[in-house]
Amino acid sequence: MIMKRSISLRLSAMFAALSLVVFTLTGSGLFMLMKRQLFNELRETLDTRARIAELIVDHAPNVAKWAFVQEKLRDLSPADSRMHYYVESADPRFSFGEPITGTVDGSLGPNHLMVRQPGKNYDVILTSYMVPAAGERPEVKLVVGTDCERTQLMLRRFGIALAVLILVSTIAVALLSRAVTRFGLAPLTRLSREAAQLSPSNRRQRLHAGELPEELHELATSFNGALERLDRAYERLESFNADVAHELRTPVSILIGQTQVALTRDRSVLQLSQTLQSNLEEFERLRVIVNDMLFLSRCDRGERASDLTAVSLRAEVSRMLDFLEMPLEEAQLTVALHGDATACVNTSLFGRAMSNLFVNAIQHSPPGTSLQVTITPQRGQVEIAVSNPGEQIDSVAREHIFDRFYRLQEARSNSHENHGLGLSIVKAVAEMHGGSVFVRSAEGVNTFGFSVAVDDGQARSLPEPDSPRASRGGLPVHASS
Amino acid sequence: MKVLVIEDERKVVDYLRSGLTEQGWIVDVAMDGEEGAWMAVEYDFDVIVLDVMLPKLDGFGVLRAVRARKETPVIMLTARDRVDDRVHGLRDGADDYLTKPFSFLELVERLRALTRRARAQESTLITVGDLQVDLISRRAMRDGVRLDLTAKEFQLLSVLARRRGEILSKTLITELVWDVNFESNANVVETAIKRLRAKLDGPYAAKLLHTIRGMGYVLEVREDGSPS
Repeated sequence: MIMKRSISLRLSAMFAALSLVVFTLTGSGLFMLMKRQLFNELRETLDTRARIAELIVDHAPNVAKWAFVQEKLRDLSPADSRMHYYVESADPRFSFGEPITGTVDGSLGPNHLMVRQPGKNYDVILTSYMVPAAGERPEVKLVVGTDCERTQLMLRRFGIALAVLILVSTIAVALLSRAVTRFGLAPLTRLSREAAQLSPSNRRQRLHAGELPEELHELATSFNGALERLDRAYERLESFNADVAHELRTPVSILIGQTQVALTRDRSVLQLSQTLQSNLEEFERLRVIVNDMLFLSRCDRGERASDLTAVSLRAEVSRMLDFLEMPLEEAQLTVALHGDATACVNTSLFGRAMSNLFVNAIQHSPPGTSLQVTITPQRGQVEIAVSNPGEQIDSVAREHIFDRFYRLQEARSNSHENHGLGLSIVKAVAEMHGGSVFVRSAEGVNTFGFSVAVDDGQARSLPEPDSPRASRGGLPVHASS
Repeated sequence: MKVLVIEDERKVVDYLRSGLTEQGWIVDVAMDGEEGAWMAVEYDFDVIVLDVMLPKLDGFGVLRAVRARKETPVIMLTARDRVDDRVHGLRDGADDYLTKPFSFLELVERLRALTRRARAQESTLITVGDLQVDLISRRAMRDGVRLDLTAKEFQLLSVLARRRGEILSKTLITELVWDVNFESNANVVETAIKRLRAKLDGPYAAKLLHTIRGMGYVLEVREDGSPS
């Protein structure tokens, strides 16, 4: 995974870019405004001077007066002046000055031309008037110009100064925003330092969400939530390990003990083979626990049931009732089966779950009572429930009854036959079929069940046979003897 | 019948060797994958028992080496209970697998199935001592008296009678009688045996149905005739 550059670095870079744009826009605006103002002023000065010159030219109708005009115009444009006058006339006696030539560089209006003279690095603004003929003077064209050397120089300097200022401020913004974002992100740094200190040895530790700004509060809260869930899973795992060890300890200590006893004296072959047989029983018990644990761990890893076949769940339950016929008879229990649905299940896993539910019901039902099995199709899943009359199960026990190795107090006594994984296997089977487990306890009836997921439209209810007693192989109902 | 056991765990090798020898097999052993592959290819065996976790060359490697040359049936022993192990093994040509911890009886059962060792000619009328089981008319007689058995009880008796003298594990009985292939903690087999025993052996001095603690049940005539 590529790590993104630091947030503060990215933020300050963005701030800098943003300020560069804003400063440049402002600077350009200022520059344009300034330029316009300066040129307007130049043009106004030029127009005033041109009108004076026009008056002077207009008042000279003959050659004698024209000499006076020439003198006046010369006075108006001393050598260092920025003003230029030129009078163009058909009669050479009535002319003045040199024409200003160059390339036209733009215009400031209908009567104002910008001209760049060759070899100069500034423009000249020219304006011209036609002065009508009077006396012996023909009509002349008066051209007045002013050069923009100082203005343009000033503008150039102003532009450079602006650019330098923009650059410097941008750098300043970049540096300052770096500091500001660092300051602003300080809670994040603190949070990550706090998170770095979390360790499995102190699992109760949480992030201090209360002191954090709004934006980080949510993050810290959900992070704490994740820690909480992990903590609970870890706790379950820990107690699970302890339970496994405890569960294995009993058979292992029996094995060690009785083998040692057998070996401390000379025993007859019969005695020795009895010890071995007893050992074998304990080994079988260990094998069953190990296999069940492996099965559960496969489910924990998220394995889904395979080899799914679409079957009538009623038929599958009947098959299990057929299998359990004799234990049910021994326990003097009858079974009534209600409802049906088709679902895709792994029949072996489904049968195992059903068998475990029945074994659970057989162990906890008083003789002579009846078990109710209901198959209920629901949205997207089918629920299979086994109800038996029995003592109320309190809510704490209900919450844990599908946990591994969880046994009600009464069931602990016969732990030899019942290793406490039966219902957790039901849960695993349900989960492998995309379903879940449930337990209800009310009015002297305990109901344990699980659901399996079905594809849409598949969980259609099958018509129930006329009599709930009718069934394949005559098995859902067992007359107690 | 010759069986090659490729397994590196000394204790497993020891009990498999003596157990299978007593069952009438000729047992050869290889303690690592390379030796096993060599022996499997070089000599002829009726079946090979192959562990997955082996030094030098693992079980899958051995299997490929064998399959490149021979069609000897192979049963794999896997410690890891993962489906992909199974798929892996079966696709590469293993004929069967057992997940550790497995029961010796089950291994023997699978070996028999793989080698299709001919059982005693399947007769429709089986006699064990004074017991006669007629598989066709589904009737059982002892000492000339017909036993009043339910359908399931008769099925259980016929499974035991067909394999008289063999110890049948509870798992196998569950599979053969009820077609249920998972281990159940319901005492189905115990109850069924108890009922069958009451009808079969109850009134008679010579007991035929014996319990082998921790292993299973066997139907046979014993000299002492004592119940176990």
